[in-house]
Amino acid sequence: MEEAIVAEGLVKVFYTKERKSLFRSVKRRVEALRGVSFSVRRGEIFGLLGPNGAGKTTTIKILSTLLLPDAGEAWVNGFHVVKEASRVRECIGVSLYSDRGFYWKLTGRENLRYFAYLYQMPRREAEKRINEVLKLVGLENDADRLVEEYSTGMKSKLNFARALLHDPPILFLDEPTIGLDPASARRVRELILEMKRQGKTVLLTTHNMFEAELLCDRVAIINRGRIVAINTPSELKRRVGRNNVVEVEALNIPPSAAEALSSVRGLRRIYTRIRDPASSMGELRLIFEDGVDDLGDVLSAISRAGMKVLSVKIVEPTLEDVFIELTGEKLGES
Amino acid sequence: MRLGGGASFLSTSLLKVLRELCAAAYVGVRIYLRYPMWILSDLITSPLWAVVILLPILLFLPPEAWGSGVVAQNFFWGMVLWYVVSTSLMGIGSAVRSEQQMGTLEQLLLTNANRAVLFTRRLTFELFSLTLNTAYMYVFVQLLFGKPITVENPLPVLLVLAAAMAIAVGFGLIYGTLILWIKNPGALSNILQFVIMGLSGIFYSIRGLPAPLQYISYALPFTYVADLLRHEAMGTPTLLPLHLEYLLVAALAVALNAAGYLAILHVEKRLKRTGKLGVY
Repeated sequence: MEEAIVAEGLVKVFYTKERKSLFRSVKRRVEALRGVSFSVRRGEIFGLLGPNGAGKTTTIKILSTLLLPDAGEAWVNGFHVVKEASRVRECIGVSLYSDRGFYWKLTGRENLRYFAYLYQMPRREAEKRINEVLKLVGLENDADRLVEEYSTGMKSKLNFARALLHDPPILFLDEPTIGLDPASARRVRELILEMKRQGKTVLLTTHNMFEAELLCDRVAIINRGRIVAINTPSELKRRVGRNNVVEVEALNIPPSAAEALSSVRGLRRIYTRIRDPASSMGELRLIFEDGVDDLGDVLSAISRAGMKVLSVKIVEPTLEDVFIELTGEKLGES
Repeated sequence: MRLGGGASFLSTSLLKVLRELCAAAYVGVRIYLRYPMWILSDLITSPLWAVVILLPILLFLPPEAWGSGVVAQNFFWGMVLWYVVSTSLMGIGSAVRSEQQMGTLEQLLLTNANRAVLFTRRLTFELFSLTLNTAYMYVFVQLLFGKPITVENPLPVLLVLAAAMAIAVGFGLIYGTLILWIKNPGALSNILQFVIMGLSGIFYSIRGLPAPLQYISYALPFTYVADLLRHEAMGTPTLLPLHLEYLLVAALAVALNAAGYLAILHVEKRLKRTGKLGVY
């Protein structure tokens, strides 16, 4: 079987209670997944890219047997995630996004040892493997410290080490670099690439487009419980088109910037990112239909709107541009 | 690499379960030893509990009975059973709650380890506490009443205590499942402990209870354990014919453990459907 992971029409609905008063609550239906289908080839790094609440973690939890789907089916390593859940658990390593999930009064090594035994690894093999994974994630010098003394980055590495402990062929990584400092995030990304070199299949979730572009062979863009596109990052970006994106750094960007520039010829979409609210300094990202005909036209429209231009660049589209193009929303918006 | 087998109880080999049990015990002991306050608390609270429970009992007895050997024996064996009940509720119920709070529950359920074993890690040090408390009580009761604690049939007493522990684990699994489902039990553990203690006739025979309450007592598993323990330790008459009571206790031990295990699997599935597994 060439596919390591197959998901077909996964549906998941949650019911939450909204408190209206001390004694009254209203049940709310949340459709977390609305027919998610995709497949991941063996040995590839596949990314689920989407904003918070898009359904990324729900997908990973269904695939790792922590959640039952309401409809649809999925197979991991050829095993059905509901009917053969124990077989699925044997061949996956899962790193869920959380700074909890460890016994704080145990050392990193003791935590790994406990899970190694629960994975039925023989004692000697377990000790050897624990040393290997600790070295791999760079925790060998801190392995005998209590987890309560670990930094967020160290806990994240330990989480990664636990996922690798029983040497599974498939890894599920939920937001593997969230909350990490740049150096730790870089180290984790290197590890993910190293896993690919070792032939493992990696399914990761992220809302970091840079990470998705850097790591993933293919990306599924997910929004509001639906997959809106699946392809390689470069193919996805081709949808927006080269030379179609202009990035303008400006001061005094008004909230109505998009309206003010709507008359510019050939402009398909515009979105802003304010970096400094005090000076309204930030970026305008302009996506054109078919290349930029006249930058002068753009600049005069910006000036008319009272903005002060600091720099103008024609840039390569990013996956965020693709996301906006496909959903009409920014990655952080949904 | 040999990985975990299926999560099914029947297909799980004894060796696999033993390995998991050892791993859980290892973790339980390690964590216990890293909280010195827990050890200190065990040392301090044990005699305090004895006083808290003993005082109301003595107040309802005529002063001449205070020095009675029967009262001393009843109190000692009652305390031992009380610790057994407490071990099951606190040992398993608290373990489930602590896994929820630490966020380790989902990680544990990503393995194929036996679900019942996963929640028994605190049992190791609860057993340690049980041993410590029994020794304490032995000295405490003899000093207080000035009467020796005697055991009529030592081997059957040990057998009954083992059965009591098995029933307590099964009961604890059912209680742990409740915690898994409702998350925060509040004061339920403590109240349940006292209700069970009162209705199961742990300190006295249930024959002294009002008739309607006796019906409830007959439905509680610890009633028969307490009755058998008193019979084997002190020679008191049993509620049911002896062989029937032994049979009942054995059947209850098996049934409660099986029910507890099935309940855990059922609630795990339910929580996986509602998405509340990781909620704490």
